Amino acid sequence: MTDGKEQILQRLGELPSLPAVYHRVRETLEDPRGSLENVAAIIETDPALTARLLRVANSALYGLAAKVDNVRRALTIIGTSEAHHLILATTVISAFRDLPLGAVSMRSFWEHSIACGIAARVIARIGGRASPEHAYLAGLLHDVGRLPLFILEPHVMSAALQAHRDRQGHLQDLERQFLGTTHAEIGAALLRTWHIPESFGAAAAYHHNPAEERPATPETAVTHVADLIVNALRIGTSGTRWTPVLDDRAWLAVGLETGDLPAVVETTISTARDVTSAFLEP
Amino acid sequence: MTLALLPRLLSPAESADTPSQGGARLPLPLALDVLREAMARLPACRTLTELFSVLNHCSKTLLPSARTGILLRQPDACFELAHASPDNAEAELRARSDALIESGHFAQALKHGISCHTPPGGPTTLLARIATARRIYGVALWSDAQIPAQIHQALAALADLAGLTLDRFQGGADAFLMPTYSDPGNVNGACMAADIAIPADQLTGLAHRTHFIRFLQRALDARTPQTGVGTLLIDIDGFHRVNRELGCDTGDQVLRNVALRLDAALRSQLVYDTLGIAECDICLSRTGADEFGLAIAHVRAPEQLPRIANHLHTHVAEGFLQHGSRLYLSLSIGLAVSAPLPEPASPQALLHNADTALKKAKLSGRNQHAVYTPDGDEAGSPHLRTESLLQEALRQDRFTLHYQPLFSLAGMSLMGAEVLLRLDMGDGTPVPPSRFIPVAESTGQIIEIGEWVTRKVCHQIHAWDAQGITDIPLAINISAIELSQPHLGERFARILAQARIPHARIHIEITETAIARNEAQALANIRALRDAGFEVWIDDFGTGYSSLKSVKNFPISGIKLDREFVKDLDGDPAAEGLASSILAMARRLGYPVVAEGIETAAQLAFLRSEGCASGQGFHLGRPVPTAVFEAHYFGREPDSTSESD
Repeated sequence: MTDGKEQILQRLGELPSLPAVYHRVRETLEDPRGSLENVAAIIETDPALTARLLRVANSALYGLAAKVDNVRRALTIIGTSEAHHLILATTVISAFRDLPLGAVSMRSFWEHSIACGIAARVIARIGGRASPEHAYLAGLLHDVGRLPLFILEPHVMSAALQAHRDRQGHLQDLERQFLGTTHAEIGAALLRTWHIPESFGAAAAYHHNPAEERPATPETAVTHVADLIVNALRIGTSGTRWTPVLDDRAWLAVGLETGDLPAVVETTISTARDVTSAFLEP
Repeated sequence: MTLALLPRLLSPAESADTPSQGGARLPLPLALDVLREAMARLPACRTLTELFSVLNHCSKTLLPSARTGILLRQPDACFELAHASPDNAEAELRARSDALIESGHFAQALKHGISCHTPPGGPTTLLARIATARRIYGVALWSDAQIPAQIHQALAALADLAGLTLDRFQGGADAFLMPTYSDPGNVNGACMAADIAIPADQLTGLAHRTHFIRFLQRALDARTPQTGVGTLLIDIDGFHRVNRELGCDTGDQVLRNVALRLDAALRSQLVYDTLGIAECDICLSRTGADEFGLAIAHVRAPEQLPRIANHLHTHVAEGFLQHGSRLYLSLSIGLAVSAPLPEPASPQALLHNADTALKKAKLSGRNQHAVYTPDGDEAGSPHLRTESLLQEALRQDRFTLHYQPLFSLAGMSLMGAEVLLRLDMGDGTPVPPSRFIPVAESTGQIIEIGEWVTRKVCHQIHAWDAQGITDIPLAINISAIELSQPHLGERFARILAQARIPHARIHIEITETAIARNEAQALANIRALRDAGFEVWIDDFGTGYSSLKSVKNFPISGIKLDREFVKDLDGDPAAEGLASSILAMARRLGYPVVAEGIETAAQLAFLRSEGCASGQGFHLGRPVPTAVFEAHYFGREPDSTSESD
């Protein structure tokens, strides 16, 4: 089973790749001479992406005062860094949205991921320890490693989910047992192949055991807490039925007071539905 | 969960071990914090493991060095250690609890709710009953060097909270019973009881039907004037095809995936908010081979149930990844909502209504949901009840066969007869085939019915042979479902062999639409039938998907010209042109033609002049029961001896 991870890593190429338009946008954003104007022009070459991006930009996620109907304006209002994350989130979700999975529906998966991103963003904003937009993307991508597992090893994952529903253990432990790896490891590797900054990979890798991260980062701690909250609220699911166990140090690291939790929960619930439909509905 | 539900917190006097009730002993502030946390966390628990972890965590806060054990009552009424903390204390706790049962402290705890025991020189053990007014679930046990009296109440309250949580578990009281730590020395004793106690379906892990009905009953009992009970019956459309075409292992895998997916889709805040319910108000179970039942208690917004049905459709519609390829399935869903409180309601009636709605959804084309309405039940009762009627009809032999004669148009001699299936409601009201055949196809009953027809026809041939009646071929219609079954030819051959009827005596009629359903299998079947010596005719020729393709590619014996091309042969040049062309084409290809639906002498004259060999229709002879057929065409008097249809 030790080579389970290797086997899956070698097959990552079988997954949908991020569209070229994402890579061009990233190059442009990283180019000192690039401008949001250029980025907007690149995005507008893809009408489906343009429409989706405007829907998400106008969703409850960003809380814009007025409806924005062109990409350049949307990008200018939300800023360069947010724009990058918005485009990445939109392209990743669009790339995988229409693929069938096995025991978990793609829809449930993204409902969970999007809600986790939103919760992470709220936690970061209230706790003040992590950048909200980084936390958002880290939350959104934390379970992305489940997609390769579901797509490449559907039967093993079905068996693992069955064992999980029979109360035999946490899903990530069963993944280790059945596959010799976990969605956390695979997720980090997948994000690396996509050339997503290392901090997001770290959040994916350590969101179940933030104590093992060296050095500990606030994004990972926030993702850990957000995942717990969203699982407890049961907004979508990436397969797990149990609420993960809270790591005390992560809780201290996010800077929340217990009294902040109702606000986090309320904002997450009220925002999640609208944002999910902006990302997923036809 | 409110404080009002916690008798012990409000009336500590009930605790047997607190004799000095005069001076009210205030719980530690820490104890209140712990209880507050337990109240927040326990209702969210859905599994025993989650429940144990909360109890464990709370106990640890109060008694950091204690050993904690939880014993649950098993179906045989024995208490079994289900949880031990720390793990290595299992044997010790087991021994300790055995001793406490012996000494009567256990009984005391069950009777009074709490019992504390400190043997000379030994650690203190506190036992607290885990129970609600309704039911005793088990006993919690804490063992420590000493257990301060101030926290006895808090621990007991914790046990009460656990009891309330167990009461609210999905599937109710029995759902939590499970094989726990088993005594290795006793393999067939204790474990058996535990095995029987698992109410889950082996394949999907969902609750069983019996359990589902119990849940429904409880939900109905818990109705208020503001809340009702919703039931959804969810059926996978055409699932038998998955089993047949991909094999049972794949079928099982798909069922498991559908179950997990439905379950995950339902355990969603969106669903709870939409219906105004809590997680524990939902029970999903496997109620049939490919049917799931969903019961929802405390529904505040029953008008929102169709949205839940849509939600489930969405989650399944994206398809399933199966052996690297995509498999698309759809669901048919029947919804029913219980009557408001003063009205009586039973799980059976609710399920019946949901089933009626499910059939409506199936009949209106599948991949949709239908809501039960009382008038729909009555107005549509003949066809909505068709499915069970069919089963009954088969069992009670209520189908009958009618025969429609087929004549050579040149000499008007009897060439054969088409066999037509008839059914009545049992009270003489006929059920048209257009109504029951689709139902029989959708349920797969058509296969059984088809075999019945074949046997019956064999029987009839024997009867006529015995009476020395001219031998004419009888034509049987085969449905799309039968035609896409493997080994159709073998099945026919087997039945005919049993009845010792030569294959040439039976003609088989198939429609092009039936061929299109599974062309490869249909072709294989037609070949096999032809090789076995059956004649295979294309029925309703000209109206199907691929008229010319079927005559080109399939080894058929002849075609039956659809009535559509016959009905306007009273001077309509276009109709005449078409009919002549088809007849000419058939002639060139060497296929004999039977014209269907001849209703006038003009039509007959035209077809005869165009060289059509044979025909049938009301003008020549209607479909009639056996006795009438014999009287008309074999010159026999209809009498009691010919009731052999």
